[in-house]
Amino acid sequence: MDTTQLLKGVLDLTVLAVVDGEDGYGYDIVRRLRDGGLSDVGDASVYGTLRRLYSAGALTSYVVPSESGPHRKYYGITPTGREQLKRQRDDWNSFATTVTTILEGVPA
Amino acid sequence: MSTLDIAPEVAEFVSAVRTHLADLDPEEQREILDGLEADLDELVTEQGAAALGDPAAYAAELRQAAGLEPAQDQSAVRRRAAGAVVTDLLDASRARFDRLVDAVPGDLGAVLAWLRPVWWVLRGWVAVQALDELTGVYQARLFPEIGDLGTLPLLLVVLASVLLGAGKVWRGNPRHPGYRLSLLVLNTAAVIGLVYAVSAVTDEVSHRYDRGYESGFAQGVNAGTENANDGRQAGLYRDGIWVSNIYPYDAQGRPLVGVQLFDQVGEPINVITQPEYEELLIDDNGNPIDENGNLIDPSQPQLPRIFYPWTNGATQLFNVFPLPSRIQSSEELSPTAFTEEERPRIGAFPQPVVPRVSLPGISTGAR
Repeated sequence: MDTTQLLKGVLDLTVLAVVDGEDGYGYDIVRRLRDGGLSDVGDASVYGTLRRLYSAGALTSYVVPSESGPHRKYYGITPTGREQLKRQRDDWNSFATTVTTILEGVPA
Repeated sequence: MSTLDIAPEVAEFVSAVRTHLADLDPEEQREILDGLEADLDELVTEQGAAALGDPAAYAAELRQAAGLEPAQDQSAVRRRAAGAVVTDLLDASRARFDRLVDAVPGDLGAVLAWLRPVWWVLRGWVAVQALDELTGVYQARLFPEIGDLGTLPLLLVVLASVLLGAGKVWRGNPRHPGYRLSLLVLNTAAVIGLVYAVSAVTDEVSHRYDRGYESGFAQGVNAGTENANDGRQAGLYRDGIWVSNIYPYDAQGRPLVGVQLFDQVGEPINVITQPEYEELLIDDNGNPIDENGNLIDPSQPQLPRIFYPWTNGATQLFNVFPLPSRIQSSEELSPTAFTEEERPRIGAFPQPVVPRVSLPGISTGAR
């Protein structure tokens, strides 16, 4: 199933939801999204999204040095990010319900 | 950050991505690239280097997701804007020029159009003159020759210039702002070069005939007085300051008169003298005074101090020191100076004595 177009609309929401559960670094967040079922998600899309959410103030970031390699940049959610997550989650739920209702109403 | 433990392909990939984001400001670049090495390193560890893909596409995906404008769009917009400005400027100048030409009675436009090929030939000629100037010793001549190639470069460059003028070289859009601007710059350089080249060549042609006379005259003037160095840097200098006289002292520090100086190959060390004028002292009211404080009559011309050479009976010698001098009304050397009443004198040394000097084991004729 090609979910690329659908993904674009929900990337912010899903990234916020994943980070809300636990702070994470870029590839870790990609992995959580993929493990959650979004197997087609591109890592560059996720990193770009993280950067945009950070610029918008929805995420905070901090660097964790590594002993064996390059440092990792962790992202955590901010109060602004939580508000955005709540709003977008509500939007998504009502949108998904609407779409589902329409789809179920159509005779197969 | 330590980069030691990153797989080389990751480092290379990140660096390639960075070049595709080079138009972003440094802060944006840092934000978007920070931590990327660690993330990609983990990706490669998990899935192998093949998972990296194309850095350009990767950078474009990063950019799009981050909400940053694609690079090529931005620079293309800027390029188009700059091009449009240049085109407008050039068009406006051309329109102004056309109005000027139209304002002149008669069909000046047709004359100018007819003259264009003449200009194409001329600018080719100027270019070869410049080439001649840049490649070794420049010799002003009507048909410049480059090295062993003779006048072949002249023919080729003039041909190229004519073809360029006739529009046979540039295959692109003749209204492309870059092309028009390049032509403008080259033609302007050619106009400036034309002034120099024409003056150099006409000087050369008009001077060729009397050069023989001039060089003979110069030899006559220089003979016997100095080994003329064509004037430039001739004579003796100390720390870049011109030396007009030398005051020698012996090892005991006593003044010496009549010391002959020669250089390492036995050539005389000549000074070249010039008339010297005393620096005028000025009193509180701005009037010139002598060293005794007496007012000098400003209507009287200031007299120069003239240095005279020693002689060996046959030749005047400017390598024997100190040179005698006297204040006289003329700046010319007088052949009878030493028989006149106010004859040239050595005068006082700048210092009556200087400290003794010695070197161990070197005899200086000391008592």
